[in-house]
Amino acid sequence: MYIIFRRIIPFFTRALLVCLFISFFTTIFDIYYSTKSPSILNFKVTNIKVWLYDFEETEDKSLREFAFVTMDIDADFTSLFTFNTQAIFVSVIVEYETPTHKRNQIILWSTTITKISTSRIKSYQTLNKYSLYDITQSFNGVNGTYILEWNVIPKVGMIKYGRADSDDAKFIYAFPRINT
Amino acid sequence: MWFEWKIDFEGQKRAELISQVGIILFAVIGFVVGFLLQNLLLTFQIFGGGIFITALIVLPPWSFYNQHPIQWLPSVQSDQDKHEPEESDELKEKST
Repeated sequence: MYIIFRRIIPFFTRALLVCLFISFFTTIFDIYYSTKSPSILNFKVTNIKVWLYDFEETEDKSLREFAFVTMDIDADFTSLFTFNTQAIFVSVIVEYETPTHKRNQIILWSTTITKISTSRIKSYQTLNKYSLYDITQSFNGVNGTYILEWNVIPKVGMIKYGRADSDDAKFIYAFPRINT
Repeated sequence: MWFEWKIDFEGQKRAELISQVGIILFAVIGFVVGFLLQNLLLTFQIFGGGIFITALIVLPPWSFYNQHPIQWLPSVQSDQDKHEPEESDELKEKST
């Protein structure tokens, strides 16, 4: 420590280590707030229609069932915003089970909230943003569970996941069959 | 060398103490203020400013770090200086 070169290096190393501790403590203090649920959560599926289209990328050009889901979404995420939050990613997924494939999860609609002023989401009668089709050619009229889920992305720390799992927030609706 | 910025041993103790206290103090102040005002950028701004101030205090060789200069012992005359003229005298005597 008697010359400048041997004083600079330990000094800045200690500063970096303390910086790491600040990040650790912000993550620790933030866990309680980001695992809360949104205060208002109303999610409804009003209409599902299934049509047959042909999917241009397959070779045999067979027809495939495409589903169109109309939803009402109303949620309030302001209680999840802390000083460590950068964005909240909200999405709607559908889960169902078929005899050949045990777990299917398809994302239907998503949005990103970056500011606390826009954290109240309201979308009435929206169609799904992303197309909904099965890995086999048809749905065969199975029951699909529609769930709203969110990911809290922090400035420092881990991404936290949450979903609307209570029975009144989920929505179970069967895919209608096509009468051929 | 003037660019080495030397400080003595008592000064090194003081510099280490000031650097430790300064870094931890500004980290704690920054975290508490940022948590109360709910602004993470403010935490790191306070911490960065504090590091800069502490570096200004610790790194250059101020005069209060050089209050106890090192006492070097006086240099010792080695025995070789006494033997050399005697050997050359002996060589000169043999040659003549």
